[in-house]
Amino acid sequence: MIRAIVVAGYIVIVLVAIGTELYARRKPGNVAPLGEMLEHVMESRTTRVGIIAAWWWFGWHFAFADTVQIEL
Amino acid sequence: MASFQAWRGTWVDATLFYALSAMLLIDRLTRGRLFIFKKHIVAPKWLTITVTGSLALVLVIAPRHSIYDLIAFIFIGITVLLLAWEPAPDREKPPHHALMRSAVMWSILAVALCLWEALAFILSVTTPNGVENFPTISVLLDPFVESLGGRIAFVGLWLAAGLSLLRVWSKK
Repeated sequence: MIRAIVVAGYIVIVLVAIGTELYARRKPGNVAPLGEMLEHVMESRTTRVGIIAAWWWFGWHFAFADTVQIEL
Repeated sequence: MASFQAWRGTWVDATLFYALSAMLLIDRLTRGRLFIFKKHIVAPKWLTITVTGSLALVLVIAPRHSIYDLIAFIFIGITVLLLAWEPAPDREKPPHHALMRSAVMWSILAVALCLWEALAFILSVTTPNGVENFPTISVLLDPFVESLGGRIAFVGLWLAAGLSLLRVWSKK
């Protein structure tokens, strides 16, 4: 039951993200689509390098690095 | 993020995040005056497709956590960092309020995902049967990425997202 709630949390966030992008593509004058927003914020080198680094780390973390579980 | 990675014992990730933060701080302090290349880099599309395809092949075929995997990730990391450092070309923009709404919305979603994941991780290591009850994204994705089909899908989507971010398709 608890596991289902945790997984549902991830799914809700993904669904809201998809919904946001669909709305943005229908009404780009109200909410800019993700691609255009990224182009805008990535004009700053700091943001651009930060976002690219986040993308790289996402691949590194899920496709290469071992899953770490610590004991507290 | 760097401190969180240090706390959970992933020293490579923590080092990468601390190094990146330091680099961006130096860039801010020097007001963006640091340049790696004098000219803007424009890769021909055939070269981009060949290199990306080769890397995808390595990432799919090479055993997970192997040295080949590691070399491919380091190569990708250095290449995208060099490309990301260069200035972006000017483009037409949507209205400012639409950009701000979008930025706020996606920031909230990103923070929500990070907090949910961090909460799951903390509870997974502090409660009995925590890994089973509070799975992190890594725990959920691991079986998928371990399979060949899952690995092809993950590597394909990840590289496509990277290419989109670098906007190489809009260059010649």
